[in-house]
Formats: sequence, C-alpha cells, structure tokens
Amino acid sequence: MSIRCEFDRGIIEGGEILTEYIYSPKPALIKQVKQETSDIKSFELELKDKKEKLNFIPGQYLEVSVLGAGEFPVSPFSPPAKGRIEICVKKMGKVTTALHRLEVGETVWVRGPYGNGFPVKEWEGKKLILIGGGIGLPPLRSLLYYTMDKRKCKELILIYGARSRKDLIREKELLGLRDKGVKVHLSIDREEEGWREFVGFVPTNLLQISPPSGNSIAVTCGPPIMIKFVIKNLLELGFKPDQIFMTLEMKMKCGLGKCGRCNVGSVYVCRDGPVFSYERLKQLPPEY
Amino acid sequence: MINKVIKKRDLQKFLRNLRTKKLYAPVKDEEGKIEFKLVNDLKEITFEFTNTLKPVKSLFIPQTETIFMTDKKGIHPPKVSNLGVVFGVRPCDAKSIQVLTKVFEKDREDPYFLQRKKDLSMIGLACTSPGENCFCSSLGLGPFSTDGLDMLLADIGEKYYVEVVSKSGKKLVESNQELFSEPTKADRKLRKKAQQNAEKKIARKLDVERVTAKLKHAFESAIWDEVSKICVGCGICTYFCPTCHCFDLTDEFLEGKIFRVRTWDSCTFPYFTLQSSGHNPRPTRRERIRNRIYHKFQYLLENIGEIGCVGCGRCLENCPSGVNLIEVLSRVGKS
Repeated sequence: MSIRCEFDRGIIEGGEILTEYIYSPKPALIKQVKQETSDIKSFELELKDKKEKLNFIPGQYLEVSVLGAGEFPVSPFSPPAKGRIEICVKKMGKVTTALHRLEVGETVWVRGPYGNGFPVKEWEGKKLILIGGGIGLPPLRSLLYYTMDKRKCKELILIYGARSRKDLIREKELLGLRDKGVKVHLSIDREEEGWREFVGFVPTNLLQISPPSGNSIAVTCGPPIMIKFVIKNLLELGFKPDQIFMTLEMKMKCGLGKCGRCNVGSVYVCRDGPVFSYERLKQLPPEY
Repeated sequence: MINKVIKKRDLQKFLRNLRTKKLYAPVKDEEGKIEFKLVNDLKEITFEFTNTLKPVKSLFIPQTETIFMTDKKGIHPPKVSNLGVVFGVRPCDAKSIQVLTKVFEKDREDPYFLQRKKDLSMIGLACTSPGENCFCSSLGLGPFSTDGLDMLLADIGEKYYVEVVSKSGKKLVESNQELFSEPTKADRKLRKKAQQNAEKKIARKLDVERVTAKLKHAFESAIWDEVSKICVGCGICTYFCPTCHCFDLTDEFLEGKIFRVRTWDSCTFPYFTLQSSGHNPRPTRRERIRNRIYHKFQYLLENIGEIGCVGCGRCLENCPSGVNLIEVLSRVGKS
C-alpha cells in the first residue's frame, strides 16, 4: 500500500536524528516476552543506547511504537529501576496486536515518560489500598513494588480481580507477596474448582474487606464500570474524594497536550493526568 | 508602528523581490477555489477574494506532514525549513497563527510548527470588503487589525497603505526602500475611510464575553441536542477553521520505508476518541459538537488565554447542513 502525500522527500532523505524532535522515540530491545494470560503479554525492554535513561514515577506512561503499526500509551508494569523496563499489554487494537507478534531480540521504539504519575511523596506514611481489575494491574504493580522498595507506606493492601482464573495476571507472584507483608486479596467473577480466594466482582470484594479509611489512600485502575462502583463503595466506606485516586484511560496520540483527543473539559489526560483524585475528577465534565 | 505607502505598480516589483525567497499568495485554481500556493508567476496572484478556502494554518501545519522517516539506520525527522513570505493573509488568519503558536509552545515546544513560524513572514491584506459571514469585530479584531502580521497592506485606490508591524516587516521594507514612501495626509484619510467602510460592512455580531460566561453553565443545555440533529459530522468546520489544530499520528508505508505522518484530524469524528475497548467518551454528535465549541470558547481560554475563534466565518460559509455557529452561541448567550 502506498499513499500520496505532500512529502518533501529530498529533505527527508538528508535528515539526521534530532533528539529534540519531541515525537521521535528511541529504540529498545525486547529482552523477554511472557504470556501472562490468553490475550495479555508482558515485555521486558532495554533501551539500546545504554546512556539513555528512562526515569519515571509510577502512574506515568510511555508511548511505545511498533513501527509500521503505530504508537500506543502504556503505564510501566515494573517499578522504576535502572536499565530494564517491563510493560504488560493486552491485545486490543492495531498496535498492541502488532506488538504481540514481536519476539525476543526485536525492536520497539519508546518515548516518554509522560503525564503526572502518582503523588507518591504525599502518600508517605499512609496506608495504601490498591484496587485493580483485569489489565488495570500494571500501574498498580509498579506502584506496589516502588512502595515496597522504598518502605514508605504504613500498610499495603492489594485488591485485584479478573473474570476468571486464567485472566488473572501473575496470580502466584501476587499471592507470594503475602509473605512480604502485603495484604493481597484476589477475586474472580465466577466459581472455579480449586479457587480458595474471593468469588465475585472487585467492588464487592472491596466492601467485604472494608479497609479502614483513616490515614488511607485508595488507588484504582481497571475498566470504567469497575471504577464507577469502586468509587461508590469507597465513599460508602467513609473515604473522602481526596483520598481516592485513579488513572484515566483515554485515546492518546501525542502525549503532550497538543493533538486534542484526550481532553476532559480543559484538562488533557495525557499531560495533566493520567492520575486524578476523585476530588479533581468530580469537577470535570463526565466525558471519560 | 511605521507607516508607508507603496504605489500599486511598485507592489509588483516588491513581490518580485520577495520571490528570492519562497513566496506564497492566494491563487485561484481551475475550479475557482482560492488557496495559498507557492507563486512562480506574479500574475497568478489574486487580489479579488474574501478569504482563501483553507486558512493560512495549512502553511504552518500542513494537512499531511512527515514527522519522521525510518530505515535500518534509525529515525530521521525532516529538517523543517521553509524560509519565505506569505502575501495576502487576512487579519483573522494572521491572528489564528498567534493562537496556534501559544498551543504549540505550551509546555513542550512543537519544532515543526515553530520552525515554520520562525521561517515565514506574513504580509497581510486588509479586508476592504468583508464577506457576509465575517464577524471578526466580535472577537476584538477587525478588517484592518495587525495581530500576528509582519506588515499590513490596505488598498486605498492608487496605492497601498502599509503598516509595518514587526522587525521582519521592517527588514522587508528597508531592503526595498526605494519602493516605499511616506504617506501624505490624503493617504491617511483614505486609509481611515477604507477602514470605516469595511467595518460597517461586518453585519454579524456575537457577544463573546457573554457567551464565554454563559457557557460555564450550559454543558447540559438542550441546545447541543438540537444542533446535533442538524450536524452531519463531516468535520469541514474543523478543517477550514484557522485555529483548529487537532491531529492524528499514523504510520504509513511508502517505497519500502515507514513514515510517521501527522494529519489533520477532527473532534467531530467518532473515531477521534474511540478506544480499542469500544468505549467512547464522546459517543454521539451531541458531545462532539459541544466539545468543539467548548474547546474554542472555554478550554483554550483556560489553557492559553485565547479564544479559539477569529471570526473568519468559514464554518458558517462551508457547513453543508447549515449549522450556524453564531446562532448557536447567541442562543447560549441568551439562555
């Protein structure tokens, strides 16, 4: 397929790599691929240029390119660390499908990090309750390990669920965190043989656990319908809107508040988010 | 501001001298459409027009442009360089470039737009006969306003009255000094008269201050339902809008190479916000039209302190189903 556009090809051929060009990503090697569920894979990436650094805070996101297919925003799965970075991606659209076809040793292109990230500094000394559903786990896992490493929170509770056991990401790993002092609560929507954890939806599990709201912060990420009921239940449990945080999912392209598609009111989710407190979200029009 | 005059036959000489750089000007094509084109022959330039079909933004953010090209060696962004002069810019369009500059400068600078902004000088042509859909005067502008221009020319009969606005405008005049002379008292009078006549011709009015205030509480107004029934969602209002700047980034193949391409996009299209999960935060025309109007009259104001409308009237002129922005906003103002 070819396109007829107004390319000034003479100029393109003679171009040179200019890193200040804000939409230009950097090459990263796929070091490892892991099939997490039937349609979710995790990828370990390493920037080809060892001098380049990808520092981020949990909750920020990267724009990852599979050249020829396009670019998509994704929050890292791993905590900030030197060298490698993990992303966990569900096969959904054009680009994520193309990514799923890639193997170890192939190249993706990365730019970022973008967005605000979680206000981790403000949360020091508080209880953190992370509530996730399905592919909403990655930013929460990044935050969880970051917090464990830094030992900056009083208590860590993870409430995570998926439709079925085969849709749960890293069941074993997450349950293993109980030995490290994290209160882990997993759930699946319907009864399955051998399942000893909670059966039901995430918001229901949350109500059943009823974490105390005092000196706590709740962070949620998952499908919109889950978030809606999680917020409802958190409010019921006595959480104030400024204790509830979430990362918003929007279609994003530029990542810099210019291309115009991810706005909720005058706020650009890509630039001013993707992390919002419910307090702030309440003031925005319901277009997310 | 420096004021000069130039005789009409000397303007041809001036333009010829400008052609040492690239010269863009309004040119009428075979279909009668008037667009900014690279001019080779000065005879191509048309002076008889209300406004170009596509706004001048098309020279600053082309409808399609390469963000980078890739090959085995890596990623190659093009060197964006386009030294030149745009002649015949209407004051409303010139203002739009000021608005867009603020958008593309904010936080992280967009080098593609800003390089072109640096490279291109704009010579305005005052509107001596504004069109029936013009309403620039409602936005603090006018047929003779100079915002965003390097110089403005106004037709005063035998001559053009020249206002030099910027340093680069001053340079253009200085390097062609012999063509310009000081305006006489009569010239000044003629210019004033021409401006007054032009301003009188602008029939459409919009109380923008009132509208921006009222919009704060009109998000759930029934007006959006009504407009969404008329609108066909074609997006022409956004393509022809001088301040609309939303874009898409896609990968395209050409001759064995991959290009990342930026193209104009439109918030009036359903795919604009459709997520791969199927969820769409602005699922119907109601939300999409509302977003477009709020973006222009609220969100931009909050983000960059400018209204995203310059009163050019292109959306009124070109809407195939007759959505009238002024009517819609006037109703918001009265609500």
